[in-house]
Amino acid sequence: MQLLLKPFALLGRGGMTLAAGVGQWGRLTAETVQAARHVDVWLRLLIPQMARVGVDSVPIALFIALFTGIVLALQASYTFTGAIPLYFVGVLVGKTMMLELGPVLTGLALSGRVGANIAAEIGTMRVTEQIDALETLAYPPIAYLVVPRVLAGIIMVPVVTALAIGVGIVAGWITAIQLLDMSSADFVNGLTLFFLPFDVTFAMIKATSFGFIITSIGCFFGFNTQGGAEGVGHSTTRAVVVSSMAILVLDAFWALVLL
Amino acid sequence: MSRAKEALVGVVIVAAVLLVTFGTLWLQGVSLRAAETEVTAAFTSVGLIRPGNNVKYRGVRIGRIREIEVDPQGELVLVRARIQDDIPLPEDAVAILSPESLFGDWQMEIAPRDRFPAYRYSEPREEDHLPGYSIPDISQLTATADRISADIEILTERVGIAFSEETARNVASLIENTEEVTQRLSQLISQQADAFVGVTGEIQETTAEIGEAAVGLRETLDRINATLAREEVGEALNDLLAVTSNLRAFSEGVEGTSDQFRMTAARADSTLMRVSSLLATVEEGEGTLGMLFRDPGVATEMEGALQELQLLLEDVRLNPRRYLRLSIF
Repeated sequence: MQLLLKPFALLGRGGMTLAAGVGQWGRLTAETVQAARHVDVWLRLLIPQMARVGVDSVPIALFIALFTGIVLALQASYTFTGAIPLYFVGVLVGKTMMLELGPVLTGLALSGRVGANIAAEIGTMRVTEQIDALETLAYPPIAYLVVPRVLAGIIMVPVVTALAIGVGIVAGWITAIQLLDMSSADFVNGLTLFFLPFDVTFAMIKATSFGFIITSIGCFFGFNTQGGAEGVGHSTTRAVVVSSMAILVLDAFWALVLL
Repeated sequence: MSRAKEALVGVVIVAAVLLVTFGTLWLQGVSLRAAETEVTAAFTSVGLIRPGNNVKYRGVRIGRIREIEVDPQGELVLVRARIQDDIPLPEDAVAILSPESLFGDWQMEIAPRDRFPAYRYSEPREEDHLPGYSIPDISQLTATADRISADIEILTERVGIAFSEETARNVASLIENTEEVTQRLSQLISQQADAFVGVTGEIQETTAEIGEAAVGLRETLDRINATLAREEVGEALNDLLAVTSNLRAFSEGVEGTSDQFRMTAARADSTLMRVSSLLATVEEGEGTLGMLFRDPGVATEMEGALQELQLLLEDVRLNPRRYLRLSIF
């Protein structure tokens, strides 16, 4: 009997843990919104966080987008040749980069880089009791640590994503001209054929939500770090994994809701 | 935090904003240099047209679709597009929605109404709106083709049922017979053609002869006319008229004589009838004469009587006084 109940018990425990974690993350989010009133605390920290979250992430994001654009053009050409006019390479590269790969790949890359960074930094502060010291000094730790990072993520992830989309499309364009039997006019014709301004809006909505998810989850796992260096590593790993999963779930959610 | 780092953040943000803004405008086909104007066309339906699709005039792209909405009355769909301001559109311009390729991209083409007069354009409520017509998309055409193919399939099945092997054999036989008949007809026609050629030649010869005869007849008639014109002929004709008059009188006389002759003949006929009847009676042996003819004894007696009569007459001639006594007083 015990053996039969064990899987259900594990499932129930996992569900309760998930629900508890979501609840704690929701409470931290609510406290972050409340802490946003301490503008004097977080404002001076915003620009440095934007630099760390955004500017420092631009190279890796553009690198990923560059090769994504190249591969997209080549694979589209491979698929379309003999069946569909090649100007649809432009359609595929443009639509895919804007609607899916630009935001998602940038989000995943930043979840690994930024989310892990935030979780490790705040987790270290937690295990070294620096956060406790801030509370002792009546300094709002959430306004000091979480708000600038979350705001930096909300602002800079769309910026990085926009740059990544642009680089990916240009990489696909150059690939189509140089490596495929396509003219620049063909590629641009395909690129503009099915373009809708909403495509850009959709990409920015997704990128903004990804920025919030990456930073807030990083902050959440950092704040809840327990133990020493091992706990920091554990929190960092979990932050990356959970934020990556959340990005994919959110990607499906937006596609379901907005498209 | 160095000022350079802060500037770098600003540069990245500005670059991204510019990229998004100008990239969107460029992909929408918005030209920042050329002036644009808005045109609105009314349609009863719009097929697969979407904002961002091309607007063309004489095959040249002059703008893009901006907005699609149903009009307040709900009867028309208004399609708004921005086109180049320097394009002179015709007075009777209409808008036609059609597929730009087979892959689902549509376009709006602006054209003079008389270029496609058969289309049933919508009647817009506003004067400055263009009448529009949307060509059925490929899915509607394929649906119609599907219905037609289904009908053809039914028809084919029915033909298959009706067209059995026996029917096929009959048809093959019919074709062979037709071929044979055709060959025979061909031979007959070729023979008739030869005969016809011969007849035609004869007709031609005959016609020529008739022509020659007609010429001779004409000459003869001319001569007759010339002859009739002379005085001797006139006198001869008068004499002929007199003779004809006499002949008519003679004929009338003969006709009267003929009447008498007819009456005499009738009488003779009646007499002959009686004689015939009499002879028939005699033939049957009735009466004295019949008995005379039929009975040989009577004839013998008659002969004897005649002989006696001859003797008597001889005696009378010789001795008249014995039999005749003539006294005047």
